[in-house]
Amino acid sequence: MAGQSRHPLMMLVVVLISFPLLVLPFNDHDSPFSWATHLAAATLLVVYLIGQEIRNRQQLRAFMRFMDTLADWAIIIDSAGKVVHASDAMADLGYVMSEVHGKHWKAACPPGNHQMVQIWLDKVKPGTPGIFGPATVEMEVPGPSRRLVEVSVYRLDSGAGLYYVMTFRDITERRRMEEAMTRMDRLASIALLADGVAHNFNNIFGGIMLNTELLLHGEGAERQTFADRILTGAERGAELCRKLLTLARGEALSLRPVEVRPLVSDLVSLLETRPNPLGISVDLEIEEGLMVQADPNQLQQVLLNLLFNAREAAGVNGRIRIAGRCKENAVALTVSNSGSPIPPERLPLIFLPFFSTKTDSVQATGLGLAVSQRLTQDMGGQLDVSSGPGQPTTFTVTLSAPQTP
Amino acid sequence: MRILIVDDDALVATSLRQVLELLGHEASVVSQPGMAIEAHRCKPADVLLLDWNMQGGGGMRVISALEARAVPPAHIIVVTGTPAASLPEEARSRPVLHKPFRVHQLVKMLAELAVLPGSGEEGATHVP
Repeated sequence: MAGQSRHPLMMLVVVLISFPLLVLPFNDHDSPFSWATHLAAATLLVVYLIGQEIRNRQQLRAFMRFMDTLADWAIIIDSAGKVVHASDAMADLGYVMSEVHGKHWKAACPPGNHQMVQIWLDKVKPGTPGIFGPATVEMEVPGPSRRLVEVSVYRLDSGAGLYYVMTFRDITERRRMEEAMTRMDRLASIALLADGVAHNFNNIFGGIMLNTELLLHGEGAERQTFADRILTGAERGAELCRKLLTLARGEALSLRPVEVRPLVSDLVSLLETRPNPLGISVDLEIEEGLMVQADPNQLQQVLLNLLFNAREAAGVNGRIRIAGRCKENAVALTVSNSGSPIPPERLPLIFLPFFSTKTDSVQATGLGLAVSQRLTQDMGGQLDVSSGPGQPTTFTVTLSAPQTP
Repeated sequence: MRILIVDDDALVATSLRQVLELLGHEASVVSQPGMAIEAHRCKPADVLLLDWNMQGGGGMRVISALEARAVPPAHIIVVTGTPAASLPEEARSRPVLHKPFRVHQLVKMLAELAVLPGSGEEGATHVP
């Protein structure tokens, strides 16, 4: 405020002028200064101080008027604990300003809260930073109910004196809405999950049923084919069950320091044993000795998922790059591929269970990334994706570095 | 009848083709929505067995692309493993074969379509 920035300079000028005029002449009776000069100096000082007081009070009143515009319950008390102002919203609770003004704050506060409020006030007394909150607490309000309230308390060292300001925001409804939305979200996820599970299992059962009928009516060598397909279907079902369980409750973890390069090398070798009709190349850029805190089996599963995905996405003569770097106490492992970027509208969806962009793959259950994210989070890490035109699609597994022994 | 199977699940698609051939139909398989349009143009099918839930949201795309053609297939049967309640109107308004299904359910549905206009004249031979 302009008034406040002018304040010290004005104070200095007033004191410099009035103090010598007031004091010096009394020591010297031959002084040319008359009593009128003394009076003028004293008047200047008094008028200045009164002006300051008026301005401070105006500021405090403006502050109070501002509080009245808020829906928050707000109360200002002085250093003796007397109510200086109770905001208009306080009237909703039955504490009308005209009734509580000048009384102790306890008159404007249900008894059940007194102890709690006193603790907050002690936390902001002079000598402290003077701010408490915002904190969420359950408070008693007049009447039978309790409300969830966000409270802030602070000390106001204004020119007009020492005050304490307490504001209370009723967030009971907001919290109730948030909880309802979370519940809806969960139901929607369950519905999505159920549809995905049904679709996958029905496909598998469909294959098994058709092949059983074929087997029943088939002859000779083709019966072997039908029986094999039934087995394949059953195995897919079992595999799907395993993934679902991993997604639902995680797996037993054993976190320990793991060297990344040998683990990734093994995976790349595994990948290279598979047919590679598209001529995709893999670059491994991980320094020897790079360590992470992880469960080796889970990390392997996460990276294998990312590698398989990258291979499906990389395109003809595509490139996959696996890199690792240490930053502060974390290690970031990235799997990038040179394929076309994931459309921006799909990017937020790819970690959802049963969301898949693969168009031609029996293996695609839409669970790979969901499971990978779950496994990474279980290890205390996170799995992120970035993709866009002109940059390779990159999945980043961030895990903590091992604690130094 | 000439039947085109559009399904990205190889196990289901191949088995279905063999079943249909045993039933005396001429069946072919495509595994991607985009290929269905092409296959139908080269060799128009009487019946399209369309997997609704192909990865990448294929079913709807195939239907709208085919309907824009001069000669759409006479019949489109929606094949799906998704519960009926979760299917959109575009799918529910057509004959729906719910996975998993028995061969006799498929035979019954094809027989019902055969008496409707626009179907092939070849009769289906039942698996005994």
